[in-house]
Amino acid sequence: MIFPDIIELLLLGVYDRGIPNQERIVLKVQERLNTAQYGVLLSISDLNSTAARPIWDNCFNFTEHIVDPGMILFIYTGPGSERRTTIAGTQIPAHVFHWGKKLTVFASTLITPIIFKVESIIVAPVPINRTQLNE
Amino acid sequence: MDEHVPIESASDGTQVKEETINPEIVRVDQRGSVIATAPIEDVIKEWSLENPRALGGGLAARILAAATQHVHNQLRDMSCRIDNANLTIDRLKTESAVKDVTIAVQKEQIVSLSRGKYSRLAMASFSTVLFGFAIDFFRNNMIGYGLSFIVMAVVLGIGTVLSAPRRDAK
Repeated sequence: MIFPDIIELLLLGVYDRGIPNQERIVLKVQERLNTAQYGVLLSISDLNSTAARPIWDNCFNFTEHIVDPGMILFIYTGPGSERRTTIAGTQIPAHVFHWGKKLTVFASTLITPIIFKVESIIVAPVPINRTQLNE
Repeated sequence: MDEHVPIESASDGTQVKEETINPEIVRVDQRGSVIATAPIEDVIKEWSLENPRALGGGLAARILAAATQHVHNQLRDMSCRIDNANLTIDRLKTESAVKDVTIAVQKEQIVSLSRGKYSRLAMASFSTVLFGFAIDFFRNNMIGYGLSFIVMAVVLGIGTVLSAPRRDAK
């Protein structure tokens, strides 16, 4: 299926592929947005550079932050803590996220990230009239 | 400047390198459907060629594709114009800032010139008076006084001339 581009985020690329604790996806914010609406899927490149097959059960969701144009978002694939910082040698604001994967994931250049945007959702109601597992 | 490195990564350093591609990741049966991104005008053009019925028939599909392409071209054109206009605005802002500095410098020069004008006039008048006294001293055979007054008048006159603003001063 073909989807429209996300114009409010610019994918600058995947850097230091296969290098533990440095492997990261870098995005640039083009418009003021709430990061909770976006996420990243791991996928395998297919057909051409703008098409890919998402890999099941490999999804990263951003935590909620309002970010302004010009900010750089870093998604490190390894574990770590979230932090607001700046780009080295500049005053450009940046926000660092961590996926928490124990192993590097982009060693193969066939594996590529898909940035997605959540447009609508359904949240299942809590089945209050049934026995819960933790009871 | 490296735009791709934050000052602090806040990584905890426990990640290890994946030596081989994780078979769980590349299993064919775990791959989802192909998804892709493409500009809307390309998608409509493609549909109008491959499946015109989905867009209301051959003619309607062509008109839709052409209209979309036209709007896309106009948007791109407008986007270029806005970029150019923004560049022009930036250039004009810079030029305006330079002019502001020049104006401030020239204002300061004008103030200092108007202050100096009165002192120069006073010096010239005093020089003329001294010159008049010197002539009287010469007439009365008081050569020594006359010469000293002449020297003072000349020094004041030269000082007045030298302190006058020059035309080429910026």
